[in-house]
Amino acid sequence: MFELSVACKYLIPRWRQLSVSIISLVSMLVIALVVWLIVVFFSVKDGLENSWIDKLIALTAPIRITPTEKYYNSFYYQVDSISSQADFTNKTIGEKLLAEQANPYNPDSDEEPPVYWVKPDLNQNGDLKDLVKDVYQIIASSPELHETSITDYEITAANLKLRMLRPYGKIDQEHPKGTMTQQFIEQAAYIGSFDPNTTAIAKTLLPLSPDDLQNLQYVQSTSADIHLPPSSLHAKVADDGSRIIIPGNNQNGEGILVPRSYKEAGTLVGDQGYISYYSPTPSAIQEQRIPIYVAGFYDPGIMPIGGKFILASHQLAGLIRASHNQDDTLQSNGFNVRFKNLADAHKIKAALMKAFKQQGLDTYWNIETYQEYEFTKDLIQQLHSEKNLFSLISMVIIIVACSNIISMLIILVNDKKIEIGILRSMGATSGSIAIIFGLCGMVMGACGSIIGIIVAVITLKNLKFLVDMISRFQGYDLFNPVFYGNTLPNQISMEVLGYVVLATALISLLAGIVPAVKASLLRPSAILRSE
Amino acid sequence: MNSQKPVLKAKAIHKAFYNPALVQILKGVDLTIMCGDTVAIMGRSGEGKSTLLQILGTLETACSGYLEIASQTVNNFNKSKIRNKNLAFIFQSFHLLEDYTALENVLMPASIARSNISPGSPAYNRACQLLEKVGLDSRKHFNTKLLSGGEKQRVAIARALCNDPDILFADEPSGNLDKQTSQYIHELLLDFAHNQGKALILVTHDADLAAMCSRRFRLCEGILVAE
Repeated sequence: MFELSVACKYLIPRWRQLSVSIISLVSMLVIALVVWLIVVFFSVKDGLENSWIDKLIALTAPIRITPTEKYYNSFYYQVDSISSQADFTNKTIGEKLLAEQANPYNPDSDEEPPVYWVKPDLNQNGDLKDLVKDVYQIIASSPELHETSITDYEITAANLKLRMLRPYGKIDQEHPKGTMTQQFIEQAAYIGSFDPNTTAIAKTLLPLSPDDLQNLQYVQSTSADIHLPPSSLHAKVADDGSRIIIPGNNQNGEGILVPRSYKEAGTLVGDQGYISYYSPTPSAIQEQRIPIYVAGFYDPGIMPIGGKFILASHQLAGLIRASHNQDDTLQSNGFNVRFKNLADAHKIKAALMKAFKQQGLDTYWNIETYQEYEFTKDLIQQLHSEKNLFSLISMVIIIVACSNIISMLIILVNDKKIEIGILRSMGATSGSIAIIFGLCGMVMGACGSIIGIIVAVITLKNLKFLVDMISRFQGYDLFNPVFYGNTLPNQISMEVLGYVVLATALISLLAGIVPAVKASLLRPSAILRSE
Repeated sequence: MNSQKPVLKAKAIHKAFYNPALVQILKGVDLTIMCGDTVAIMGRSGEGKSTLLQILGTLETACSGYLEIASQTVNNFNKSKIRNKNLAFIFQSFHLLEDYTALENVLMPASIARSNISPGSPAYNRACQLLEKVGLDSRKHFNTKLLSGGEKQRVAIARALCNDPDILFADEPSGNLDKQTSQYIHELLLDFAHNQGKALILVTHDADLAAMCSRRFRLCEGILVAE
């Protein structure tokens, strides 16, 4: 292409055009600097955002299905309370799933349903719709949802008390294990069940510290299960990588995962205690205690209630929840729907909604993607708003950087006046002349952005080293590990790269318009005559 | 092209400008050039010879008048195409592209015409032949900055012939050259015009060169008079 070959020729630095060459180089370096800044900033921001979202999803799910008020008012849910087969007790979703029949009501032996109850929702066979099992049926049978998995979850509230035994003083013959001090942590907490068959939660697990290992050794030495090695007491991913193992049902109690705030409060892996809750008995409401021990710490990320959220086995959470009054149960149990590609969340939600509508289940269940959860919606919206704002700011910075190109190209046009006249005399159109100078601007912008991207990639590959160096220089952490984790996450986003390359090329092209138009309007006769 | 067919028809060409008062440079110039004509335009300095040449070569716009080149009426939309396909210029100060080699300069009109100019292509072979004809075969890859004045003008002639134009315009082509080189350039230009059937319109003060042309005109007070 004639225009491109001429533009490239003009961009080669020459001693004869030293001023133009220097200005071009400076313009390109300014663009490279801006591109570097934008790519590094957005990569770290995207890395942080994705790490937060990863943790959020690991602790919840990309999609959650929760019962609506209509579910709790339905005959299907209420009927358990008057059925002898159901022990006259409302059931959780997990219990409904295990129930042998959808309708345990026996009209011969059970009392008559109250008149204000809604009528039973029957399927085509005239049987009561099984609102829980039908959900599983939909997931299993729909071809659009074949890569998704579904598990039910329970969230409940209880009181957690941990005893922290710590060695103190010298070890001697009189005190072969040293003197022990003890402290307690007591907190009202949410107890959430987690699915051990997903390894997603492994992303949030904090590594064991030397103190944790020492404490585990102590616990093992005092345990009745003396044969248990310390490594069998903490949470870990199974050797085949298919599931998370949280040891439980040993002499130390049930293993639970507590948030990192407990670690910061001095708790160690292996600390023992109990979860207490109140359960009605025939005589009174009595406190019940379940022995537990800390099997690991997890990072709750941006979950606002993360500091009070304890992860336990499904059985433990279900046991506590079943003992509660089930009236105020909205949002406290439901289904977690998991799949590989997070970007499919909206597509899968739409498929679920369609299938639920076809089966007449849509009014009983509420389907939300991770962006719509009540406790994260505002935060995720804020992250998106920030992204849009920073994109706008970066656009302004790119415009300022690319504006240097205007002055450079005007000098270049003045420098190349005679050549413009010669090219016009040979038949080059004014459009071709404009394209040559427009391309000069665009090539400069593109080169600047490529240099910036290369330097940004190098920076990101050595980010830890740079952050450590700045931290040492200023004497404290550049990024607080509480918010950003031990290493600053970063992820080069193709979206950001595309945006930066396109924006710089486009703005450089636009910056080249004024000089290009000036060049194209030059009269060849006037240029050639003046020589 | 038929030798009886005019390649250029100019009628009532007027040109004036303000400097600061109105100056009438051309006062109705009529000119018809046939294929193979060699035309010399002479006149005193400042009479408007170069302006006339640039108007006829579509580099300048006349205030009024009619111009037809190769059977096409010249307008703002086809000027560039006509310049590229049908016309070529040879300037007193050569006007070669400095950062290019002699061969690249010769190939430039073909490149503007979007012809294939890669080695072995017809345009490339033609450019090499033209450089050989002007005696610069051995210097085709030389940067034009390294060439002498006479060599530069020979490159300019080769470049002018690259797209096989109908008319060559030469504005004092030997004005910057010594007498011996001038003589060589004149012969080269006239040879090309005769041998390849091109029309040649040149502006000159050189009576000897004018005498070698088939038609001679003198521009005097804006009127073109045949001699």
